[in-house]
Amino acid sequence: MRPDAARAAALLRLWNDVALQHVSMGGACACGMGGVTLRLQDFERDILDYLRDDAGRLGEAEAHALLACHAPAGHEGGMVAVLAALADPAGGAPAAGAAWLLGRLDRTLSSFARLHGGARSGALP
Amino acid sequence: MIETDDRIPVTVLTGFLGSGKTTLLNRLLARPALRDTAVIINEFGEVGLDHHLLEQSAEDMVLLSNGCICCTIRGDLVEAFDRLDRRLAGQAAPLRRVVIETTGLADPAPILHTLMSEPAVACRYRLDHVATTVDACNGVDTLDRQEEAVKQVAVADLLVLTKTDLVSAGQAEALLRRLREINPGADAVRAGKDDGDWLAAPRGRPPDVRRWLRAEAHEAHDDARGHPAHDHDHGHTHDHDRTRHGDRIRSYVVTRDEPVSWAGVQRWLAMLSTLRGPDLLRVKGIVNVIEHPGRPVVIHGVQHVFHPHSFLPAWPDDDRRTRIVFITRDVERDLVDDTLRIFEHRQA
Repeated sequence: MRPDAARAAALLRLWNDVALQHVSMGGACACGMGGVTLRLQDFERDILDYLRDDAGRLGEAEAHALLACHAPAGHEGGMVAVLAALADPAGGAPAAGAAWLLGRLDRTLSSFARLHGGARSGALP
Repeated sequence: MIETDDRIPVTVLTGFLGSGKTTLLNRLLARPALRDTAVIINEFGEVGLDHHLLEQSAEDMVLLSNGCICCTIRGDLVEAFDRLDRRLAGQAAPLRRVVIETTGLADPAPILHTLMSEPAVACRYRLDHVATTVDACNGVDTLDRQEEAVKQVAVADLLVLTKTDLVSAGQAEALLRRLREINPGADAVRAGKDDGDWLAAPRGRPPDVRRWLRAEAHEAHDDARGHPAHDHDHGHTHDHDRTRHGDRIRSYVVTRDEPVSWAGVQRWLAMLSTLRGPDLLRVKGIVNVIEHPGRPVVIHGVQHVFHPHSFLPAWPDDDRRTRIVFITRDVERDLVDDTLRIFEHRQA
């Protein structure tokens, strides 16, 4: 497996591990946060919007095209599709675009996972 | 939205057992300038204080049914403020300030939560600052052994070093260095004949945001640790915002040169406070928002409880950067910085 594909597969596992875990503040709390329940998946659209904006702003056309194909703007979800495409050895994702996107995704998803779980690490050692 | 604030300022005086809180308070209250100060002592039992406006409150915590310990609302404190209001009703002399003296073992966070989020209190009173006494003789040892003591230092706006006459200049300086590592933004003074100035000093309305934020102190501390407080992208996890001696406390300032999305920042803060609320010991900042040019937003949170934000009528100085000071337990700067990046351009 290409190194980029292996890295993408590791990120896909990380996302699947943490995306659906709930963090709950509980109910009846006088501080105003009562009843709030969050999953990392709730921020999936924020992350993908950020990646699309960043790729567009920096002229990363290949990465932008990958995102447009697998996680089009205005649609829900897309993280799994993007990571699966990057992890597919036969997927034919352009190398430069895949590398740029994986770098951003690794840092972003690792940060979310560490915030979520305290000590979760990303795809890279 | 609050542009002026006429609520009565409240000082929370905390500090570990034997660190000299009551001695300090007795001395301060002897000053004529502090005559119209009410004191709430946060414990039962004999009180070594003789003051005409004195209320006591017990450690009567109201633990809400969800079991969330940081949502503990100090029922005793709410009642003490209520009694104070009733005593003062109809009196000609105005109340100018309240000081809450906490027990030495107290976690200050529930007290701050009560001041910030309990409507019956927050409509009349505002948290002005947190002052923490630190015993110069035993301070370093206490910080090594007691996490609550570290937390008391971490949330402080002012550190009052007591018993400095009993230690050498070198020992006092070593303690100061340790305190600055935990909380570089806090003012530090030695207890003495002038130590009441900080309490008696008139504060502006709205309060002096620059003095309150002290972001420049955190930035200077960042620089000293080899970590300039500007945007960077070195792509690795690092740990040099961590203090020495195994403290889990980190302090740093996150800055942005360009205006950010207020809708995004609000979503980011909600995310941070939900995921890591108990570890956000104090968050305070001034934010340059895209949606309201020229009107910075002031944010202030303790753990997952945030004050209602307020818009300032104008910037307090020429520095228009967003500056958010974080004092956390085990929440590294790169996590905060990276996740803000996701939200800062978010459209409403």
